[in-house]
Amino acid sequence: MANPILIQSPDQLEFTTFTQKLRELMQSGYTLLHCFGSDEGLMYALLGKSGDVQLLCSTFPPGKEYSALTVDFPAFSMYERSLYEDYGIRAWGHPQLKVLKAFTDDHADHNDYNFLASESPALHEVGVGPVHAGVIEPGHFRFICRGEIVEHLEIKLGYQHRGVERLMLKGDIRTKNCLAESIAGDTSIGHALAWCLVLEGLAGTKAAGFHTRMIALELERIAMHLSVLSALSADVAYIMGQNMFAALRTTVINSSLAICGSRFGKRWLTPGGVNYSISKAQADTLSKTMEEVRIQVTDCCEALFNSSSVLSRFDDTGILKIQDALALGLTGITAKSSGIFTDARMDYPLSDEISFTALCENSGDVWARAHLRYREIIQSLDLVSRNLERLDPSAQLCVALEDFAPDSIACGIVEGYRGRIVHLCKTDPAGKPLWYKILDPSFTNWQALALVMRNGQISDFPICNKSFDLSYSGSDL
Amino acid sequence: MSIGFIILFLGLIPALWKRSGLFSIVWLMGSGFIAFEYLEVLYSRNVQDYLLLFPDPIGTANIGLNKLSAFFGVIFSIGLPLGMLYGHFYLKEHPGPGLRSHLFWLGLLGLSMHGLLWMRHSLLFLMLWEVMSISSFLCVIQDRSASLKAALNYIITMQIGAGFLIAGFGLLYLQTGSFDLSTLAAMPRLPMYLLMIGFAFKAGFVPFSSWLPQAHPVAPAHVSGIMSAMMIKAGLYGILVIISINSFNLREIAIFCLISVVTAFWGVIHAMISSNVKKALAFSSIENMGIIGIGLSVGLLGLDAGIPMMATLGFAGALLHTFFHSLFKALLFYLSGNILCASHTLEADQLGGLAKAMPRSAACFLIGTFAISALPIGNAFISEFSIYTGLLSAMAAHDLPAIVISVVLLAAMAFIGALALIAFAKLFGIIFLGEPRSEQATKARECPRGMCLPQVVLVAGILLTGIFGNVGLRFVKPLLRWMQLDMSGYIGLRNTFSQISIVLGIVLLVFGLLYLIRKLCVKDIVSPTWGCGYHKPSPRMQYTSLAFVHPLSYFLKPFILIKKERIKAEGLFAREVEYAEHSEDPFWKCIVEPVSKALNWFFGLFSGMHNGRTDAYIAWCVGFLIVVLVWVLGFK
Amino acid sequence: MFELIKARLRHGYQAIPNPLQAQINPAFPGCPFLAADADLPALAALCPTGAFSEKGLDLGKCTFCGACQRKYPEMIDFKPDFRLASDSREALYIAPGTQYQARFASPNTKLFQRSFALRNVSAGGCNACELELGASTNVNFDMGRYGIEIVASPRHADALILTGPISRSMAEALAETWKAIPAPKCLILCGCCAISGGVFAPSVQLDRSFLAHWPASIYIPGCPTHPLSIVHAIHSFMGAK
Repeated sequence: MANPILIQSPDQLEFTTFTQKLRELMQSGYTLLHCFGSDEGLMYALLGKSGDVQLLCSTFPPGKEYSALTVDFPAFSMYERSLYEDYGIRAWGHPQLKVLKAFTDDHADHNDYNFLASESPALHEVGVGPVHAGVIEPGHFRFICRGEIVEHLEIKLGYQHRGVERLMLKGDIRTKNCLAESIAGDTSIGHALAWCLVLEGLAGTKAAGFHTRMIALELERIAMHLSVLSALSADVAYIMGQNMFAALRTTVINSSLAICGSRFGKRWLTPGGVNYSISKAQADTLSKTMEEVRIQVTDCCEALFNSSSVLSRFDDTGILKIQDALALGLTGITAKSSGIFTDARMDYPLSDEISFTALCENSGDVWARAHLRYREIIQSLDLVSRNLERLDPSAQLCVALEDFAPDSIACGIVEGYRGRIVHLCKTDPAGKPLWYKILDPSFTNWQALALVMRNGQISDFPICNKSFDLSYSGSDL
Repeated sequence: MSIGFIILFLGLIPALWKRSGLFSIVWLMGSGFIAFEYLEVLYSRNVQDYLLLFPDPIGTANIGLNKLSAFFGVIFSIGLPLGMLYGHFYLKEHPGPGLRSHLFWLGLLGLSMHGLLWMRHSLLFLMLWEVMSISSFLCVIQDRSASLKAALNYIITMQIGAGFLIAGFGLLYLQTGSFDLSTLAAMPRLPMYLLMIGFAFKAGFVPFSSWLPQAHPVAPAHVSGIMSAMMIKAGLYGILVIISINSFNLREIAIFCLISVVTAFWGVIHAMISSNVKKALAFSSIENMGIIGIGLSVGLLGLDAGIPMMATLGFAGALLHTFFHSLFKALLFYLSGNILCASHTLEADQLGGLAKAMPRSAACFLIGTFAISALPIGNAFISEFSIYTGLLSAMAAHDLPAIVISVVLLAAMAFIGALALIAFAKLFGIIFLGEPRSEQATKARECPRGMCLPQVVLVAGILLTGIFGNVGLRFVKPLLRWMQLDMSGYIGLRNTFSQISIVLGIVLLVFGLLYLIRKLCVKDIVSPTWGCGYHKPSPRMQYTSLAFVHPLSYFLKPFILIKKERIKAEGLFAREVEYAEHSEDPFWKCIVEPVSKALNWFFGLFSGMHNGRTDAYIAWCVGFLIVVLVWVLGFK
Repeated sequence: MFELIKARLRHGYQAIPNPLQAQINPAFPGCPFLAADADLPALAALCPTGAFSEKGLDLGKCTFCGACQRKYPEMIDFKPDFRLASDSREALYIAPGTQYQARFASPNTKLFQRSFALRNVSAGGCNACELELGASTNVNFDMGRYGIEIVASPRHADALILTGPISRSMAEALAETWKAIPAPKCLILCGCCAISGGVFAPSVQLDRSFLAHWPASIYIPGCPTHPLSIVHAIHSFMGAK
C-alpha cells in the first residue's frame, strides 16, 4: 500500500448504506482516520487498518439529521461536532453537540458557548484563557473544581481559526508552501510533507529527495520532543533540565537552519522533492552534531528520570486509560504512551527502504509520555543517521509536478511529532482542487487532556497539558 | 438590687403590648441601674447580701453578689440591652409570628440571667437555671416551622445538663446538709465533677456542644447573639464559681486542659468548614469557650505548680476573653442578622460582593474578624496575648509537668489561632468580597441605620478594649485581687499593654496618614478584573467556601465526619457534575442518634396500644390500676 | 546527582556571549538586498504573499520563503543578518537598489531603558513565532540579561507583543489585554503575520481592526522571527547603552 494514496472518483453511497458500512468497518477493527463533509454536499469517512485505507463517501443525510455514530463509536465525536458546525448536520444523541470554532455561519460566539455547568454551590469554576500566562497559543479551559481537585474540564478552542482549508484553494495550490508550513508552525515539516504528498499523489509524481525529507521530519521530531521535555522540566521546577533541553533543541534546530535557512525547516520541502539538499560536508557536520546530541540527551534524560522530585510529579499523574484512548481513536504520543501500538511510519510507510517499529509505553501517565519522547528522540537520531548513510548528494533536488488527475482524491498520511497527520484533496473533472482537508492529531487528542484531568489536582494541569503538547492552531485551522 | 430589677420587670409590660422599641429602652435604662450596682460591688468593698426566709424545703436563702457574679453582671448588663435593641430593629426588618410571646420570653431570659448571679442557694439557682433554659428555648423557636427540631434538641440537651446539676447539688446537700453555694469550697469530688459537667453542657464544651451549631442557625439573630455571647457565659460562671474556690490536682488540670484544647480545636475546624455564617459563628463560640478553658487551665496550672505569674496571666486572659468574646461574638451574630435581612440567606456560597452593597456592615464585620482572629486592634489579641505570656512564663519555672503542658498548649493555641484566622478570612472573603453568587445577593442593600447602631457601639467597644488593653485589664483587676492572685503579674501585663497601645497608636496614625496622602495625591483608576481575555466571567468563577479551605480540610479529614453527595463526571462525555458535603457531629451520630433510635424502637413496641378505641383505653386503665393495687398490697 | 553533574559538565557553556553582535549561519535569510534592476513583476508573480510591488519589497509581508532568491539570485539576496526590525512600517519597504537596514529613531523616552516587561498575545499565530519568542528567554539567547522579560499578566507589562494575524475570535481578547496593560505601554508586532497578516492576509476569518486604532512601536519581520531578531529589536527600542 503506497502512501500517498490516490482514489479515483469514489462511489457515492446512500446514507444508510454509508453508516452501515462504517459500522461494519469500525467493528472489524478499522481505525477512523478522518471524517468530514464537503461543500459538494457529501460526507466522507477515511478508515485505515494496517496499511489498508478505505474511503467511504455519501450524500448528506436526509433532512441533515441522523442518529449519532458517537454513541457507539466515540471516535466520531469531534468529527460529528465539526459536521454540525460547518454543515449544520445534526447527529441526534450526540452527548456534546456543540460548536468547535466560533464565528462560522449563524452560530453563537465564544462567550455564549454552552459549557457543562454544575448547580452545586460548593463547586467553583476556573476559567483560563484565551490569553494564557505563558507564551502559548490561545484556548479556553473551563474547570469545575472541588477545592483544588478538578471534577471536570471542558476545553473550548477555536480562537486560532484562520480558515486554512479555504485559503488552500485561493490561487494555485502548488504555491501554498508557506501556508502548509503555517498550519501548525511547530509541525511545519510534518504538515508540509503531508501537503506535498497529496499534491504528488494527485499528480502521480514520484518525488525526489526522500531521505532528505525523512531527515527533516525526524529533526523536527527531535527538536519538538526536546522542547516538550524542557517545558515539562520547567513545570516541575527542574531548572537544569529546562535549560539543557532547551539548549539541545537550539543545537538541533540550528542544524535545520544550516541546511534550509529556517530553524523550523520552513521552505525546506516542496512538492516533488526538496528545496535544499544536504551536501557531503553538511551531512558530516549533521551526523557529528547528532552524535553529540545523542550523548547529551541520554545524559540529561538519565538525570531527569532518576530524579525523585521529578518522578514524584510525573508518576501516576494524568493517567489516560488505553480503552479510552482506543474508543476516542487517539493517535501519536498520546495513544502510544497508553499502550496503543500505532505509528503512521509503521502503518502507512512512505517507503519500504527503512524498516521501522513503533515504540510504546503502558502506564499512560505523564511519565509515560515524557519517557516515550526520550525514547523517540533516540530512535529518531538513529533514523537520521540511517537516512544520512543512504543520502545521495548528487541526486536531483526536485522533480516537476505533472497535471493533477481529474475527479480523484489524494490522501497523504504523515507521522508528525504529535501523531498522525492526514491531508486530503479532491479534484474536479478539470483537475482543479475542489476541496482540501487537513487533520492534525491534536484535533482528537485534546479530548484526552480533558479526560485525564478528572480527579487530578488543578496544579497538575500544566504538566498534563505539556505532556500531551497539543496544537491549538492545528486543531482550529 | 431593687431598682434595676423592678425596671427590668416592668420591661415585660411593653412586651405584652408588642412594643419592642419601648421594651429595649426599658432594658437600656434598667441595665444602667443594675450595672451601677454591679460596678459598685466590683470596685468597692461592701458586698450586698440579703437573707430571705422561705418555707421548707428551701429554708433560708442567701441572695447577694460577690466580685465574680458582679463581673458577669457587668458583661450581661452591657450585652443584653444591646441585644434587645438590635432585636427591636431586626424584628422590624425580619418580622415573625408571635411577637408578644417572643418579647416576653426574651425579657424573662434576661431577667433569669441576671437573677442567676444573685443566687447563693442551690435550689433557687436551679430554678432560675431552668427558667433561663426554657425561656431561651422559647425565644429560639420564634419561627417554629424552621427551628422546632433544633430547638427541641437544645432543650433536651439542656435538661440533661440540668440533670447533672440536680444530681450534683443533691449529692452536695446529702454530704454537707446545706443548699448554700458558698459552701462549695473544698468540695467532695463526685458532686463537683457532676456540677462541672452540668455547667459544661451550657458552656458548650466538647462533647456536650452539639446543640450550639444546631440551635444558633435557626434562632433569630439577636437571640443567637444573646445566647452565644452571654447565655453560655452562665455555664462558664458556674465553672468559675467552682474553680475560684477549689484547688485541683495535676491530673484534673491536665484533663481540663485536654477538654479545653479539644473543644477549641473541634470548634475551630468546624467553624472553618462551615459554609453557613451562623453555624460557623456557633462553632467559633465553642472554639472560644475552649480558649477560655485553656486560659483557666493555665491559671490552675500556675497555682498548682507554684508559678504565681502564670496563674495571674492565665486567669486574667481567661476573664478578659470572656468579656471580649461577649462583645465580638454578639457583633458578628448581629451582623449575620444584617446579612439575613439583606439577602435572605446565610449560606456563604449564595452570597458574595456584599461589601459594595453593605459597606457599613462590611466594615463592622472586618473589625469583628480582626477581633475574633486575635489580630492586633481586635480585642482577642489582648486576651490571648495574656494567655500566651502566661504559658511562656511557665518556661522560667523548674516544673516539668507545667513546662510540658505549656509547650503543648502553646502549640495548640498557635495552631487553633491560625485556623481561626483562616476560618474568618474565608467567611469575610466569601461573603463580602468578589461578586454576588446569587440573585438574592445581588439585590442586597444596606440595613437601616438603627440596625447598625448596636453594632457600632460594639465595634467601638472592641476597638477601645483592643487598642487600650488596660481598659479590659482594669475591669478584671478586682476579680484577680479577690481570687488572691499575685499582682506583680498584673502590673507587668499593665505595662506591656501600655506599650502595645502606644505602638498600635503610632501604627494606626501612620497608616491613616498614608491612606490620607494616597487619597489626596493618587487618582484611582478603576478597570475590570483581568480575566485572561475572556469576556464573560461568571460569579461561579470564584472560590467557594469549600474551595477556600479545601487543601487544609483535606489534612484535617480524620477529625471531621463528612457526608458527601456526589455525582462524578462519568464516561467519556460527562453530562452532570454535582457535589455537596455536610459535616456531621460524631457525638450526635454515634451517641444521640442510636439512643434516640433505640428509644423510638422501644416505645414503638407499645404503639399498638394507641388504637383510638375508648374501651381499649379503659381496659389499659383498669389493668394498670390492678397492677398498682397488687404491687401496693403485695409489698405491704 | 552524579548523572546530573556529568550531564552538566558535558553540556558546557551554551549562552551566546553577545546576542546583538552574534554570528549567524550563512544559510539564514536576513536583511535583503534588492538589485536596482530587479524585475519586480516577475518577482511579484513568484511571491506567495504579494510582498513585491512597484515600490519594491515589503519586508512586513515577506515570509522569507526564498522562492524569489532561488529563482532570481541576481535580483535579490537575503544576507545572513538578523537585524531585521524597525520602528516604523514605512522603514520595512525596500526600494530597488538598496540594502535593507534596521532603523530605530532615537528613543524619546528613557522609561524602558533598563527594564521592559512583555505580555504576549498569540492571536491566530501558528506557534512558530510563539516558540521563537519563548526561545528568546532560553539559556542561549537569554534576553533577560537586558532586563527584558515576559510576564504572566498584562497588569505587569510595559508592552504587548503580538504574534499571529489576529483571528476574528481573538480580536476582542486582544483588545481586552491591551486595555488591561497600564499606561505607558507600547505595541510590538512580532512576525510577518502580525505585521501584515502574512499568508493568512486573504482570509475572511481575520479581524485586524485593532491595528488601525493602535500604532505599533516595533515591527519585527520574519516567518518566524529569529530570537536574535527579537532580542535585537527590543534592545534597540529600549535605547539602553
